[in-house]
Amino acid sequence: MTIATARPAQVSATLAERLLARALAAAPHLQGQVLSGSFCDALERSVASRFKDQPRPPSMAEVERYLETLQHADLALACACAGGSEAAWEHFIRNFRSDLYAAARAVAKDFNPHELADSIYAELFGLEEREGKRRSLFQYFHGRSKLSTWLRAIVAQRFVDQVRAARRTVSLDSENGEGGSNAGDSPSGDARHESRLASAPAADPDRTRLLGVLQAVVSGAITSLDPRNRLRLSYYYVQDLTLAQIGRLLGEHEATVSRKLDRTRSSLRQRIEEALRQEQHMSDAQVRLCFDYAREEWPFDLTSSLRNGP
Amino acid sequence: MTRQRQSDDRLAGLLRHGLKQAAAPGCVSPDLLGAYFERNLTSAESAKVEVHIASCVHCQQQLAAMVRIETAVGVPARVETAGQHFWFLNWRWLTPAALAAVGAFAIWITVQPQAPVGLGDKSQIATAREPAAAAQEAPAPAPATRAFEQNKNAAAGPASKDTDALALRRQDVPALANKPTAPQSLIGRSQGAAGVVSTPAPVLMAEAGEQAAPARLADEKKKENVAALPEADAGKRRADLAVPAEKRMESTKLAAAQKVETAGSEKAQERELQKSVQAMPQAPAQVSGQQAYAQGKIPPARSEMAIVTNEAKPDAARDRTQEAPPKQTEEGFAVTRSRAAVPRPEFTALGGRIQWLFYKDRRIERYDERLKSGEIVSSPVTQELLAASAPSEKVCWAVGRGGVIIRSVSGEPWKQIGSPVEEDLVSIEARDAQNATVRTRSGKTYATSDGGRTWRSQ
Repeated sequence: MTIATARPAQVSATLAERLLARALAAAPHLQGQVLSGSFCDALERSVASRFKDQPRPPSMAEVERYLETLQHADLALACACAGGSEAAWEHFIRNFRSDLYAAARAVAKDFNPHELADSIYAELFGLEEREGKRRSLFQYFHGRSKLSTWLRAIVAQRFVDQVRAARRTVSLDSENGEGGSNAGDSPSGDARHESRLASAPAADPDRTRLLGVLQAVVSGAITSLDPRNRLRLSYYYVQDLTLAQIGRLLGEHEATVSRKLDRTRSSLRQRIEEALRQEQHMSDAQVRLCFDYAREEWPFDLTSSLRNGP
Repeated sequence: MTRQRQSDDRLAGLLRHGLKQAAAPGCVSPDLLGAYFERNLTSAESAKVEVHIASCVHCQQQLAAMVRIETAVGVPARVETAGQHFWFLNWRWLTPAALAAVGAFAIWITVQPQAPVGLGDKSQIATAREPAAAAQEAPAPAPATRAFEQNKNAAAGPASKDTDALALRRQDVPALANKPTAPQSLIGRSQGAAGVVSTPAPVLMAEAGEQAAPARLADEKKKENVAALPEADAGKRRADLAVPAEKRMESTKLAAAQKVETAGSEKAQERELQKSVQAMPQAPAQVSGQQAYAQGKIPPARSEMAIVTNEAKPDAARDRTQEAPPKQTEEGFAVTRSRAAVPRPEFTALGGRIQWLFYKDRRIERYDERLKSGEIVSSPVTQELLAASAPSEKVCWAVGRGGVIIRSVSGEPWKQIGSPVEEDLVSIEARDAQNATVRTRSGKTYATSDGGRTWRSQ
């Protein structure tokens, strides 16, 4: 059975005009620069984006409640810029361009930040044309966040894409010497690491078995964590964020992040050791050996377990 | 416990190696990611996004990049235009806020005798460290002034503790020798001063004249040289000479006029102050500073201070037309140079009895005029600070290069707050901990009313 995506309710002209008036009152420099039709289209795109996964179309009250939460002035500016208004572009350049370039410099230090910012700027301007119409990146701004935050999200997205693209084009020499760090990016990662494991000199014949068991147990333990705890661990161990930064992302105080990380680590450790002892019938010495082997070399990646989740 | 710690360390290693992930399908769009980052989603939406992000390294990397951007660049300053006023029409906070404001106003009217300081009042402005000739002044709080006068009248023979402190602060201000000891009414930049508290308006005018004098001398010499040139060249050189000198004199006159204007408003305060001081019981006759110096009772530095404090001229207006005798100034400066180097602040801001001094090496001193003691901390930012404003004893704002803005409230450590621009900020005018206006080098102004969370262009 397929569920057809429900077509969201259209935005009423009255509501669109009221919201546009509010936007223009907050941003008088946009007077005469935003067509009510294009603003209404932007609102409809926003509604469509918000309610696309819902099985039933939203009611007018839901649409109105949602539209009230948008950043109307920023949305009007985006519409005006997408429409090619000079006054709107001047305002954008004066107030947002420097932040865009600063964000690129802050995050893409080794990846030519100026080029990154330039390419985003060009896309915002709309150098690309489709069916005779200029397509601007502004059309993808739906007003759910501030325009400045959205621009930073774009910078972050493009930067991450650049990094991942650069990793995929590593030379053969570096690939042969690479550990498990790129395993998550390559579909053949598992096979490559398994073959390396098989070819490693087996000082302890049980090494392979112990590591395999440990992998399964750790995968299961991480999978059973709730998303927030898993996110906290990922931010800390994989993304190398500080406690303050993690707190910023999760809406928690730094001390709370630290406390919860400790608690999660502690409960993970207990769960893993318990599983190794009770389910795998390992002795204390064997449990310690498992951890020691894993610290020396970790040939596995937990891609599938973390992707699947509970 | 040791065994458990070792296990924790091993686990940390496992997690570091093992938490690598691939991107999950259905990544979050930048629009939704931005809304999640700002916590603008409903709780249901937020939970749904988190479930995805927890399994998607791509989205985690984007969010990590966004938070790193925020750490490096700061919170994006929401530039509002003047028309955006609807925010205050929320009745939920408007009514109690209005009642609180009325109550506070009533209490203030009852308790505070002096006139309020408005945003337009220049008393709250501290100037940037600029080569401009103009310096802005602020009226001194009466209690501090009275204390200063008390110290002055307590005589400098057996120098009191307060006088000593004043001596230390004024020792490098030769221009104050034989000048009226006006109350601490002005905030200014004195080039020869080390930690000087204030510079009276007539002195500043005298300084302006002193600054113009070397320029005039140089011009005279240049004119002599021009006379020796061939006719065609001489005409051109004369034209060249005339313009800079005129401009210099104009700016000097303008600066002096501004200082006179401000000093004029100080005159009434000074007269009142003199009346109150004269009404106070006089200290018993004591040895004057000069006598004390002659008798070798006090060292030169303090005797100079004694000279300064004992030769107060009641009517500052008399001295406006007088220029400081160059010889004395030169001597004073010579004396200054021979002393051990006293660190000089780049600029200062005065809030009540608290003076904030900003030094070149990122030190910030909070000096209590009443306690005669200061505490020094390091600036929380590496950028050079250029100006500050202290609207009260508990609040001080400072701005500087690259749009940096820091603020200290109620003795808490200095914190950097959001800025509207990345351009150098050269001046700030603060009313309290929440309201301030900054100006960029290019002349743009921005104001905040929520402690720097959002800014609107003026």
